[in-house]
Amino acid sequence: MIKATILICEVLCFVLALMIAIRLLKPQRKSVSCLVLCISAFALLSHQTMQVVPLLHDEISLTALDQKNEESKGAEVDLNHIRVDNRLITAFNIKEGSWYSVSGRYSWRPAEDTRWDGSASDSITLRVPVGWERTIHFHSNPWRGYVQISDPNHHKEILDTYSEEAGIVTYAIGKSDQWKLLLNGALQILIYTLSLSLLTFMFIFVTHHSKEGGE
Amino acid sequence: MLAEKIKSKCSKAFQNKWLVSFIVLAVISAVVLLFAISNLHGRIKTEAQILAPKAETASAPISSGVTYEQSFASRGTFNRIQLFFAPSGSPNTGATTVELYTASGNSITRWEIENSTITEDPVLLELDGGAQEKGDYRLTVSSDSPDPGTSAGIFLQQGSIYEGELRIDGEVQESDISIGLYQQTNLGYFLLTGILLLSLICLWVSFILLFIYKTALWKTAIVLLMGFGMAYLFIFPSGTVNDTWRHYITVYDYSNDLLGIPKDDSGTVMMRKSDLDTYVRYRALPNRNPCIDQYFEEFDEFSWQCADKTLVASGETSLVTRGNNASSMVAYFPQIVGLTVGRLLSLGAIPCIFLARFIQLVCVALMIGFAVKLTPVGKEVLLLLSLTPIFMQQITALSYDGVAFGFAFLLIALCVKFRFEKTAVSTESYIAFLFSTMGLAACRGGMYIVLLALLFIIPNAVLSLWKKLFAGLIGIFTTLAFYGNVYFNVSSSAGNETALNLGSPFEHPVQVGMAVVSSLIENVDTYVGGMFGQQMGWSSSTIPFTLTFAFLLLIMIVSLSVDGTPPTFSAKDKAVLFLPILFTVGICFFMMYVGENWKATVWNIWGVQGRYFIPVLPLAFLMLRNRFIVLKKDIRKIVIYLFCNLEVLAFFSLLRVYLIR
Repeated sequence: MIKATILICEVLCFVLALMIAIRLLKPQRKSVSCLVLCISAFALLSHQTMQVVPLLHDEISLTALDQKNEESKGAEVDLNHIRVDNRLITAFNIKEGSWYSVSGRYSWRPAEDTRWDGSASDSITLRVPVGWERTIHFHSNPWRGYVQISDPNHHKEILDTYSEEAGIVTYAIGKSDQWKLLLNGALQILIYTLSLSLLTFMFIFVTHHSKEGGE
Repeated sequence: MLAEKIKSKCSKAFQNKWLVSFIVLAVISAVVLLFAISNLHGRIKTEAQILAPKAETASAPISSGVTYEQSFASRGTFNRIQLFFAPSGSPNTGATTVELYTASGNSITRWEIENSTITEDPVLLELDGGAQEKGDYRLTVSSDSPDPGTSAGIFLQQGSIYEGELRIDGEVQESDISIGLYQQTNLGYFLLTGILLLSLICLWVSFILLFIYKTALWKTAIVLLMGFGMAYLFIFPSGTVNDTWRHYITVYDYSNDLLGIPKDDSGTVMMRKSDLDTYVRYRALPNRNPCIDQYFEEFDEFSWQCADKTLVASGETSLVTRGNNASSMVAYFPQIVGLTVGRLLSLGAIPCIFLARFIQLVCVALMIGFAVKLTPVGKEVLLLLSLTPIFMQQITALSYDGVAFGFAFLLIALCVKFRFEKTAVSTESYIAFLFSTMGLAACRGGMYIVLLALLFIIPNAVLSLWKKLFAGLIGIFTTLAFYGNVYFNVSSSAGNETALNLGSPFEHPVQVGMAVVSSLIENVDTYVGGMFGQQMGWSSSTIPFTLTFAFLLLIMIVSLSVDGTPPTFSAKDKAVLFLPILFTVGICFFMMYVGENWKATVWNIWGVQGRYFIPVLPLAFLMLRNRFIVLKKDIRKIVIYLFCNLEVLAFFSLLRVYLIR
């Protein structure tokens, strides 16, 4: 419902921007298609902006427990990626703590592992964008150990990231609070509207200004 | 009556000196082509190596009662088997029998080799009934000679590279029989003939358009780019360049987005099973340069229809997922359209890739055509730069460079057009300018947005200050919209970067600046070669430096004005034209210094390639236009024609390396 509302608002804003541009610029018939193309490009650009601007997020804590099951050869923890509503996140937004970047993953290694400088903290706090379907994906293999995940509702769970063969262990973070989703949707619409209005009105201004003999 | 008509037409035609020249030229070039092809016939590579033999140790003589049984997997179709026999010291008698079976045990071909004819030279055995498909096979070697002293052995090699094993009388051995598999066809011959014929047709067409029909240069540009581009589509197999497959996966990822197909759990791209098979096998080829093996691979993999459309996880992440790249959907747009249309039509992997490359060629050819049409100065410069081998290679390859080149040339053309306009630009022209700006800013991390410095050469009376400001803002806005998360993201790896060789460029600007200067001095030949096509990007294909130098010289000639006729750029304009070049050089070195620091030395910043400067290259040639050194006659069309001739020579040069022994 929220997603559909955002889409409808985007279309409405686009139509409104187009109508205003046509009304104010009064283009000749042959120029209308150019104007439509231009405003469409602004709309796509605004949509792209909406994807990039960081909005609301939840905080999740990951704690490497330095523990492993009996079969595991190590207690390492490797965060592979986060998925929010089918959007993949590999560049993590870390609020507190730091791990190592290893082969494109964000990894915790025990302090006694001499291949690393021992600077990794046991816990990190991640900022995860709000969304409906959110999962956190850990890399698994015979050297992986336990990690404790504290989700936004402060529910804690211990996950074993060990597996005989390399793979992925997934943990579902779940949906964000409804009010956060609503607020996030409103912010998205706001950013889109602001961006499109800014671009459209600036375009109208510079074009109109030139027509009036501003040159 | 008819004879008289023809006679009068012929006499009219022959009054046209250009037409006569064309006929003479066409006949001469056709004769040269026929001569070249007939001479090369025996020297063209006709076989592709499917499995490489490595004869190491000779086995014991194979006498009657002993059977060598080798299983192996072929990774391509083959119609020849190469074996290495080992003659014994005493005269060989009897015969050795070699038989090839399918995995299910059906005999394919049986050969009997007289032991007395065996030498240490490799033996090439031709299969009956044409080529065999890739798959699992079994080869047996036995002999009817009872005396080991007069029997021949066979050469073996260590390690089971064939995904099979050798059994002697049922007992598994550590070595394998050294087997070479070959595919022998006339593919190389057809490729060479086809491409050279196409290039000659392009040459003839260029002559007709330039001298007989005197077609507008922008139309000629589109025709030439399409014609020569088609040849380049075949000169370079799809998987030629090292990072082609990364681009393929990225285009596939975007195509999946359009089709609503999500990534798998581990974030890798989902692919059709047949496409993944092709990708895996093609990518495993050891040679990343165009060569007969790659052509064969493409030929082997070619199927109009996709055999298995089941979606499977590829195990590969795209550049989009990696999140630290310069690959927006805009830069790949033509290729995404091509691949998606191909998939919707259920085409096979190779036709899909060709369609993606072809659509990119069409888009860029149109962009360059419009750029040539729009610019009042340097039309020939834009055309010739876009005909250089490296430019053609980039716009016909799976890459994010082609579209960036197109937008850059379009933006330069518009700025130069506005520079010499007398009246205020129309809203349509301004919208076209905004589109070019947005397009360019959305490609290659937005690094070529520095071309917007050209706004300073446009008089305010033509493009108001507000419009300029808005264009600049749109450029920055687009770059941030597409790459803001890359530039400003709170990166998880921030604290773990390896220390930069010379420290931060902001803390030690002089030291880093010196490294840039020394890199420029040390690699100037590489950069120039890379800009004009001596070195074809990441593939190690090269053309002779003399050709590269000739390309450079010809572009310099057409960049001069004819007898000092206006318009020319003022000194201030030229200073502004130099700015984007300077910025681009700086950005390239900065990015490589930070991104590829582990390969940099104190004196050499690694990774900068000549082709990175192509989008700003027209500016360097536009700066050459002056009132002192000028062309006395307008020979620019002749120069363009000469350039096309050199292009054909470049084809010869490239194909000679790839196809001729």
